[in-house]
Amino acid sequence: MADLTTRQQFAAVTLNITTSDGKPAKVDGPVVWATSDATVLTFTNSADGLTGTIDAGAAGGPARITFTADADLGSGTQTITGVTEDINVTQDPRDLASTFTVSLGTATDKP
Amino acid sequence: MATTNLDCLVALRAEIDAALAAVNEPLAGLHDLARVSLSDAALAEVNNSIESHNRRSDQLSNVLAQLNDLENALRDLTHDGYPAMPPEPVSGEVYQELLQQQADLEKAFQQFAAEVAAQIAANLGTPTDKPVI
Repeated sequence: MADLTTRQQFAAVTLNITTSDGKPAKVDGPVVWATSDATVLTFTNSADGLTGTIDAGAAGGPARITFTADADLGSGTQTITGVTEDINVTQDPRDLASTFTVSLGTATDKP
Repeated sequence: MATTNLDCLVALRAEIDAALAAVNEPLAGLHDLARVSLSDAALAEVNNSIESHNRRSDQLSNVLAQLNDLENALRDLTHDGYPAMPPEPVSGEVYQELLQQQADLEKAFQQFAAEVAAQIAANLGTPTDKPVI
């Protein structure tokens, strides 16, 4: 589980694409990003989809970003997916109420 | 898109031709003027004007020369069959040889297979404050 507040982002997200035995691998075309809940997490990504930014939305809660790509370098299609851990967004402490101001008005005689 | 229609250059050539004629027209008079009795200041202005006209005339002539080159190049391209680029006809013997080479290369290529991507992992990095807009 990763945490973000509503004022935060992951500004330099990078994707690592590997074979089943961990060697670096290429995919055919861009990696496509998708959010499980656009009110909680949004993103912007590069044209090839290998880097990007994930921003917390206004709503709190957990969400994930999913990455999809075509592993077949030829004319076929072999879809692979990756997903972030749950990213939990909470209200930023700077936005929490911290003081009460009470206006007493003017003192008057009791009835 | 293939565009070798020279008509688009006609208007430009006409404009440059007209400009060249206009800029050359007063040159003879300016040269005459430079030979009459003038103050140094007036003569300097006349010479400046001659220099400006000559410079503009050279520039326009340069554009016309480049237009000629461009038209010739486009005509060569058109005469060569542009934009079509048909396959080169070869003898049956040469064609068979090329086919055999293609087959050999295909067999060699089939000895290789790309390592297949299997997983995508994301490195999120450290949370930072969003930039203030």
